Amino acid sequence: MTDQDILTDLQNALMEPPDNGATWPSDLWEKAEVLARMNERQNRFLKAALLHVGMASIPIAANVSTVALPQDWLVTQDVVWTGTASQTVRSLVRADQFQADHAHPDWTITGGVPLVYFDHDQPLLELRIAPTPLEAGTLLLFYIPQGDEVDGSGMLLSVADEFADSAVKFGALADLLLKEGRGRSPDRAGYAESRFALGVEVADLILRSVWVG
Amino acid sequence: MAYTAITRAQLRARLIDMIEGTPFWSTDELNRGINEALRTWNMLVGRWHGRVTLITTPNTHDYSLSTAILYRTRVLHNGRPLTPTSYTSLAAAHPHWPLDTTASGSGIPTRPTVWCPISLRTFLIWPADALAWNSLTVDGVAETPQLLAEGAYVNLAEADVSVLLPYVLHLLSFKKGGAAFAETAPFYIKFLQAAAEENQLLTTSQAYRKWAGLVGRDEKPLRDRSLPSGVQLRQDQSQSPQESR
Repeated sequence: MTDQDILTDLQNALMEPPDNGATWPSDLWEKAEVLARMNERQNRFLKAALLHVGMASIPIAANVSTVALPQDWLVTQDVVWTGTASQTVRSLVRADQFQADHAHPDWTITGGVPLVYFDHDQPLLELRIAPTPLEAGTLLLFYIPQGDEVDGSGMLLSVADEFADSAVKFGALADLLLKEGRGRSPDRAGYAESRFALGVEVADLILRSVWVG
Repeated sequence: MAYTAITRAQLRARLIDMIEGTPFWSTDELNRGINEALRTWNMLVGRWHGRVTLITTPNTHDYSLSTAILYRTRVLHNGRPLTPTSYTSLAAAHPHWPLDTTASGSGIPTRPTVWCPISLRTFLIWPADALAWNSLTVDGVAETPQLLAEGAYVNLAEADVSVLLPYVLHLLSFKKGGAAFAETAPFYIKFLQAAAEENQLLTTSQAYRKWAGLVGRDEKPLRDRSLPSGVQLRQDQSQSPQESR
């Protein structure tokens, strides 16, 4: 499905004349606002479900503990460390610096085979591993990538068509119908929100169980 | 349950039979509603299946599909089925999996034996095939056929049509809102219930059972999720937005 398909569906649902989302003559909503809601919901859906998991192989030098995450990174799913010389492979556990400080107080000073990774308490788009590896290696990163930003030009969505109605159409409707003004409709917004949640739940049933099952 | 080919024109004609002579919606809206219902039905029950064949590349663990949906899938390597597993199980059972290939020796199988999905369109095999040009056949739920022409058709059972078309009416009534939309809520609930009968996996979700009006009707659900309480269409009720997880 393209972004224009969803824009037309939104126009139909909101009683705007359908023209692939080009114009919103009621002035209740603007095109840029609708596109922003679509993009925001698409990314929220991608983050909540595992429809797309990106893989990146990131080389890391000896005695270096921080690497840059891909520009489209949203959430880390798993990290696997492989030492180049020793061929040691270790699946790293998500942790934070507070945990590391208590479990292994010398982690910033003493190197070794990495055990954990931190991403949420690091600068944005940075991932740190600990202990600092003493040899060069590779980090295999599984992550949820951001969706392609739709602009109303007929771009394909980043979610499968089957989930696009739940994720993008109903997600955007939930936001647009809660906007203060004459177009506000809390009942329908609530319904649309539940449809977004239905898509997340079904994707979760299908995919999360196969990741951790 | 007999499946018959039914065209978009036939589906729309039956839909029009359910509504007033001068419909509130345009023909394009009716067609879009039919296609959306088919997509949602496929999302819930996995009605349409397809097969994709890939060729292995040396020492590659991960493969991506361009079209098919990786859902209720089986994967075959040169015609031999691989055992499905989860990523967590793979990583636990074979910690060196990123290095393991069919040429590794040391007890590593000489052909891929395991596969695990990591997203809707990406999966891993273990061990990686050290050779190229072997086939990987993926059977799974395919993309939903879309009825873009009057003569385009899908195979559906009458039981499917009898829940799909009222659901289309429910979808379309969203535009009207208010009581007109609320009155079609039973169509949505019946649609969800029919999907749950086809796909028992859905009934393991507490949230889904609430949406489908199944809570309290059968046995205790297996899965409890803190999601919104589902469809509340009465005029005097509103539902708080779901918080991002």
